[in-house]
Amino acid sequence: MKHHKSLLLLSFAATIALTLCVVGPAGADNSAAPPPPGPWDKQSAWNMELVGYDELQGRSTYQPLIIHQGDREIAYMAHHAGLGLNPLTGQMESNGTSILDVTNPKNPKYLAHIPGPAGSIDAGGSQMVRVCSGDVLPSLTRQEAVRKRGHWYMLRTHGNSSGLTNPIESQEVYDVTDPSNPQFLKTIVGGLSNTHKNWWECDTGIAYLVANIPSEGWQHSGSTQHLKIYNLHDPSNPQYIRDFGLVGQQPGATTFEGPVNPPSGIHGPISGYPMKDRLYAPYGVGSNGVIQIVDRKKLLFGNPKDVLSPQISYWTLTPSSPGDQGGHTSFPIYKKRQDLLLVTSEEGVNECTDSTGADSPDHIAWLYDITNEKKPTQLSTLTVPRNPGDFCHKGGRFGAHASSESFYRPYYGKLGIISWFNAGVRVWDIRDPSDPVPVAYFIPAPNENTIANCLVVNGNQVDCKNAIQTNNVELDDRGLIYIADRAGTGMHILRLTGKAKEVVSEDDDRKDDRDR
Amino acid sequence: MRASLRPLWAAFALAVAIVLADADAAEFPKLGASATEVRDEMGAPTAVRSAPGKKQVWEYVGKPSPYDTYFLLFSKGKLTDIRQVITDATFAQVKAGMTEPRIRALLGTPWRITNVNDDADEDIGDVWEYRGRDGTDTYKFHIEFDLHRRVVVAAKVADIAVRDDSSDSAKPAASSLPDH
Repeated sequence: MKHHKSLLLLSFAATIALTLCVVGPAGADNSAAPPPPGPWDKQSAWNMELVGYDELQGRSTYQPLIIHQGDREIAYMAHHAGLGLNPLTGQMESNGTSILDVTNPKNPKYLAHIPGPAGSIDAGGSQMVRVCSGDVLPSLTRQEAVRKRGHWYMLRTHGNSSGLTNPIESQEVYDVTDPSNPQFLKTIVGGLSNTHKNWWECDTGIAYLVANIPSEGWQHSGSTQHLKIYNLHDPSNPQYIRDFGLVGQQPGATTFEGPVNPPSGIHGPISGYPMKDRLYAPYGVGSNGVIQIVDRKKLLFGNPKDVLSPQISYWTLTPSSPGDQGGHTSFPIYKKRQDLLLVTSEEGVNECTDSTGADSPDHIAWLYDITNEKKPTQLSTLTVPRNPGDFCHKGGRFGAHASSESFYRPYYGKLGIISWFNAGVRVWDIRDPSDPVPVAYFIPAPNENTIANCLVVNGNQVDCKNAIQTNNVELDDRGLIYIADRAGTGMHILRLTGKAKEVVSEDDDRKDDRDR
Repeated sequence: MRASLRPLWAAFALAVAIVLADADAAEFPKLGASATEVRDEMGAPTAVRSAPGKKQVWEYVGKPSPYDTYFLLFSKGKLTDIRQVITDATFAQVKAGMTEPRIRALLGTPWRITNVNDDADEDIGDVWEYRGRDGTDTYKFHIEFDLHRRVVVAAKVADIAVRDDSSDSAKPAASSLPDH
């Protein structure tokens, strides 16, 4: 009997050894669970490391955007509303857009802060920013091309007048050819409410502006915003094209699409052009989520009153997901044989607790197969466990927010990079989209600029904690990863290491599958 | 990290002592000085407000240290009082439902204001913060308003200590970071 037992053990050990030889250490490591983060007040990193940092004048920041501008790398940081000291001017300035030279990522240089609107703080902020080169934007005449040559243009939202009777927001363009000395160029459209996450195609000049003008009769639930589409190939002379939204949002609608009537407002579209003539539109932000695939050509050149014809398909997020999920970001990933859509919802509660004190399901992300555009299928979910890390008691929001939106080729189709509020930035290996594998994270430490987040239940204040809130994430064309903090903790510049770096370095057999 | 709304009377006594010490150390103008003399000595105030009894309050925010806010009270053109207002005693007067002007009258101009509302369906108002100091420890008075501009949250929140160790520094130092 003893002899048999020894043989059994030997056989078991041999099997394990053989398995390890076949799989190899890389495979084993790559599927390893993320290590637990350190204490809440310390920085935690796994397969990522800090390269540089700037405190962004302590301003709450929504979105980073990094542009290879001439021979420099310039970071445009879009801020939530607020008021803070600009040491460059010595003045208290309304939060707007910070511009930094990050050519040397170890030593970011603050070039300028363009203030947001004056007046009421809650009508301030410039949360979104896009930048295009005048050399890339098309021109209709030689004179236009000459005028724009060598120039850089920054499109930003201006203000956040949600709820005001007479909205005062606008979309505006600056000439940022000299990023240290940005020059106001043009208000594209004013009298807006609910400006948010724009998209600007530099190849064509088409700008999908997110906003609303209440008097125009568009209808929305939740975030009251839809698309106002302009051609900004010549930012000095904007050309209005049309408004667009889900069926049921247009003035006079008698039917609707999605789980609520009127349908939830759009958060921010992403265009697949020039790779594909498509626009991907997430609705609902953090609830009543709908994702829509739009035929861009029909959208731009069809009947501007017709919101149905450009739609290829739409689907709701809630039935297949826990709780009430919304459409926040929808990023297309085109492969040779498969098209994917990386979708995120936005977490909206502090400490996993709703306003009544009940547990609130985490907001998450998904990968969809959209190869058959009329019948998208969910392949997988991307989630972060509440433990280890005790994220639900760390303070602030814990859950998904936004994915990176850069088509940076070395990472494209390999990594899913998503900001996860108090869990920092999270990175998945998505080469097998049916089985995304966590490969990296970075959780900044809070600092003395971090704005406390307070949990309020049934109107009573429960607790306030200094928690970081990684809001958005973006890449530069060197593969560096930039995260911005809505709790005022600043900008962290990161790079991949270890297994995460191996994922993007591997010249695997599927390379051809990503090239198209 | 943890917040408390309750007045800490022992801390108050200590705060008063610190205030007095700071006031002496800052070498403020003598009581009875004219507005011109004060401006010459201290520079332009951060803000000027009217007070009952035809009085005037000059705010000096972040002076002489980033953690101080001084109110200088003038009556009939003469300096009659100097108070450092970022104290537990002042903060204890902050109550739910107070308006923004009342908070400003108590604590002065905030060090920072933030509003992270980015969607119309969010019920998020402004957050006002005041920087303060208890001995060597620093903190913020954190006050949140609702959309009607009335206080819904008021907390004293201790700051995170800044470390020297770059590996887990709360405020990373670029010079100590690896080459890119």
